[in-house]
Amino acid sequence: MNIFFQNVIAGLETGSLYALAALGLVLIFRTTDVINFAQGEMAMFCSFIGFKLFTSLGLPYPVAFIVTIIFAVLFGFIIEKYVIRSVNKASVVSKMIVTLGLIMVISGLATALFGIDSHYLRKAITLDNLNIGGVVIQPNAIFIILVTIVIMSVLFYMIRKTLFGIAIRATAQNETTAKLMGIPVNRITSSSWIIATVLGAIAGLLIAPTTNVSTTMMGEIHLKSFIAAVVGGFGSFLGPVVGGFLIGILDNLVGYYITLKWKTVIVYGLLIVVLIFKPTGLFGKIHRKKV
Amino acid sequence: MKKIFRSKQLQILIIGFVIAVLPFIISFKRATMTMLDTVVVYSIIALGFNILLGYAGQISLGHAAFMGIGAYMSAYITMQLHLPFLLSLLISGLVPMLLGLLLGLVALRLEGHYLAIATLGFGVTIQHIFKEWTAFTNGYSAMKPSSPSIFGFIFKSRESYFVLSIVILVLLSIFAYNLLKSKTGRALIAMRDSEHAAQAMGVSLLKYKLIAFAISAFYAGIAGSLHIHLLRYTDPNSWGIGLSLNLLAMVVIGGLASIEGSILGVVFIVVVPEIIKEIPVIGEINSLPTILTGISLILVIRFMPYGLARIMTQIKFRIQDNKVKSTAL
Amino acid sequence: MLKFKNVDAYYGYIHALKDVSIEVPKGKIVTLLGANGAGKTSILKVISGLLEIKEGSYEFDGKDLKNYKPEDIVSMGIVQSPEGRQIFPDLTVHENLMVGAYTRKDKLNINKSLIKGYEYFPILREREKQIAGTLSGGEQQMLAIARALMAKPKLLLLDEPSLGLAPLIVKDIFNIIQEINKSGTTILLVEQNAHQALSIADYAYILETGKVVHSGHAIELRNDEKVKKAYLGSS
Repeated sequence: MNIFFQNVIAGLETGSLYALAALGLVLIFRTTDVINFAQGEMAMFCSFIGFKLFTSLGLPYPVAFIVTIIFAVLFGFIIEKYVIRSVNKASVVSKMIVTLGLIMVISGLATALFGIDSHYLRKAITLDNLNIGGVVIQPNAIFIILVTIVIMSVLFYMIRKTLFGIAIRATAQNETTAKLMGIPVNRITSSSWIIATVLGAIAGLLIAPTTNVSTTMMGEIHLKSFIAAVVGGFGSFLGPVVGGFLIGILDNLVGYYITLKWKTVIVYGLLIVVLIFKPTGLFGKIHRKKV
Repeated sequence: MKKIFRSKQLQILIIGFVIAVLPFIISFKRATMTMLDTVVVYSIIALGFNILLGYAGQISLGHAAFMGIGAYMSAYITMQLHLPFLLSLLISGLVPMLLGLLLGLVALRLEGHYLAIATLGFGVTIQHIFKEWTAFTNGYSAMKPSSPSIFGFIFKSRESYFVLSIVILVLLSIFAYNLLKSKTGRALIAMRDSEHAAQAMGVSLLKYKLIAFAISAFYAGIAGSLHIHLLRYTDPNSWGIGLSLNLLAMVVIGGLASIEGSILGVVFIVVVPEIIKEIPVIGEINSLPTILTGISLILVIRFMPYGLARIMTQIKFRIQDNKVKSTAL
Repeated sequence: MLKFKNVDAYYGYIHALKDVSIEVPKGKIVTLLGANGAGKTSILKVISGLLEIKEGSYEFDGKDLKNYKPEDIVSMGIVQSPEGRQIFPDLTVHENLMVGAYTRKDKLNINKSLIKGYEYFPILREREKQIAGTLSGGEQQMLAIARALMAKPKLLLLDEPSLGLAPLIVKDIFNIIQEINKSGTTILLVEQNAHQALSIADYAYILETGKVVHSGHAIELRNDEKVKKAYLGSS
C-alpha cells in the first residue's frame, strides 16, 4: 500500500506539471483558436534562461526563478504580437503549422545558443526527505504540488470571478461581439499567451531537476500536456487540470504495476482511444460546430 | 503528335528520363550524389503527403512513423527472411497502407487540431515501439541492410540507385497525377474545401479519407524502404517528430496541392542546408538549417500560401489585382 | 450627433456602401430600412469600427471616428446590440451584463445600470444566474439590449431586434426601445420590419444595394405611397 501511495504522490508531482502546461495550451486555444505546438519548446527556452541566470550569472535561485518568469512574459508577448497575430486571418490548420514552424525556430535557436549538452539544475526545495508512516515524500514534490494548486486557484479565481476573466471567456466564445462590447481583444489574446508562456516556464524550471536542462527536456511533458488537455477536454478550463493529474498518476501506476517498458505506448493508446470515443474529453461540453 | 507531347504523363516520363541520365553525363561527387538520391527518396513521401494534406486537407504529424515502418519492414524481409528486394519494397508499402487505413478511420471522427494531436500521438507511439521491439528493429544497435538487388543487378553505386529511385518516383508521380485528375481527385478536393458540402454532393467521407491516408502511407512506406537501402543504416531516432515536421515543411513550402511543389519543397529542405554549410562562420552553426526551415515555413504561410510552386502565378495575380484596384478607383 | 458624409466602403471587391450620407440627431430614434444586403448592417459595422471606409468621413459629436478601434468607440458612448443577438451562450445572464460594462470607468455606478436594466427587463433578474444559452429567443434579445445598455451609451445601435421573434414579443421590445429613448439615449435602429420601425422612429432612411434611396420623417414615409408599396406590403 505504501508503494501505491508513493506512486500516487509521484504521479501528482509530475501530473501537476502536465496540468500547468495543459492549462496554458487550453488558455491559448480558447482565446485565439490556436493549438500552440511550440509551447514545450518555449518552456525549454525559458528553462535555459533560468539555468544560465543561476549558473553563469550566479544569481540566487529565487531571483533567477523570478527573472525567468519576467523573461517568459516578454517572450510570450513577442511571439503573440509578431508571429501569431500576423497570421490572424489564416485557416486553423495554417495557424497550427505556424506554431510547428516555431518549434523548429526555437529549438534551433536554443541549440545554437546553449548547445546540445544537458545540465543539472537544482531542486527548488532541497530539504531531507520526509517519512510519513512508511511513505517517503520529497519536500520538493510537496512544493511542486502546492505551487501548482496555488497557481491554479489564482487563475481559476481570475477566470471565474473577475471582469478580466469574464472578458477572456467572452472572447473565447465570440470574438466579434466581444469587440462590440468594448473588450480590447488584442490585449486579451496577448495576456493569454503571456500567462501560458509563464505557466510553461514554471513547469520547465520545476521539472528541470528530473529531466536536466536540455533542448529535449520538455518533449515528454509537452506531449503529456496534450494528452491531459484532450482527456480533460479543450472546451473547459478545469478539465485539462484534472486530466493532467490523472495522466500523471496513471503514468506512474502503469509504469510500476504493469510495464515500465510499454508505459508510454499504453498512455498514448489511451489518448487515441479517448479521442476516438469522446473527442470533447471526459469533462468537455459538446462543442458547437461552426459550419 | 503535338497532343501526345502535351500529355502530362509523357512530360513526367521525359523529365524523369533526362534527370536520371544526368549523373552519367556530369559526374558528381559522391556526397552530392547521396544528396540527390535523398531528394528523390523524400520526394516520394512528400508526394504522398501532399495528396493527404494538399488535396484531401487532412493533417498528419505522424507520417515519419509510416516511413520508419517501411524501412524496418524492408530491412527485416531482406536481411532476416532473405526474400528479394522488390518483394520487400512492395510489402513495405502495403503494411503502412493498412495502418494508414486505421488512421483514416480515426480521421473520420476527428478534424483539425484533434487530428493533429492524434497523429502526433500515433507517431510517438510507433517510434517508441521501434525503440522497444528490438527483435524486429534491433533498437539502437541499428539495422544495416545491404544494397538492393533486382534480378541479379546490385544497385550499389549512387548513380544506379538514382536511376532506380527516379523510376519509382516517375511511376508514382504518374499514378498520383492520374488519380488526382480522376473522380477521386475531385472528391478529395471537395472534401478539403468543405466536408459538409462534399457530403451533400454524395462524396463518402469514409471512403475518401481512407483513400487519402492509405495512399500517403503507401508512398511513405516505399520511401522508407528506399531510404534504408540507400543509407544502409537506420535507428529509431530517425523516425521522430523532427522528420514529420520536416515533411510538413517540404510540402507547405513547396506548394500544397501540387505535384511539382512536393518535389520543389524537398529540394529546398534538403539542398539549402548543404549550401549553408559551405558559407563561412554562419555555416558552423549546426542548427541554422532548422531555424531557417522554421522561419521559411512561417513566412510561406504568411506571404505565399501556395508555396514555391505557384510563386510566379501569385506574382502575376498580384499585378493584375493592383490593376483592377486602380481602375476601380 | 452622428453624421455620415459620402461614405464608401468595401468588403473585398464588394462595394457595400455607396456615397452614403446619414444623420442621427441627439435624442431621436433614427431607423435604417431595406432588404437583406442593402447595407444597413455595414453602416453599423463602420460605426463600431469593424469595417474601414474607403471614401468620405463620419463623425460623432464633432469627432472624426475614422481609425478608432472598436473598444475606443464603445468608450466614447456608442454601443451596438448586434444582429442575431450574439449573447455569450456559456456565460450567465449576469456575466453577460458585466461584459457590457467592461469599458465603464465609473465602476461604482455599474450596479445602478444593472438595476435599471432589470427594471426594463424584469425577466432577466429572475434568470440572473442562468446560463445565457438556455434563454428563449425573446429573452436573449432582451439580454442583448440590456447588455448594450450596461455601457451607458449615448448612442445605442440596434441591429434587427425583431429578428425571429413572435409579434407579441416584438411589440414589447419596441415599447422598451421607446422607453430607453425617452430616458435620453439616442437610438439608431436597423430593421427589416419596416412597419414596426416606422411606428416608433422619428426619422428614417431607406437603403437599396448600398445606396440611400429615400429618407424623411417617419410619419411622412409611413404615408408615402411608393414606400408603402415597396416596403410596407400592399396595404
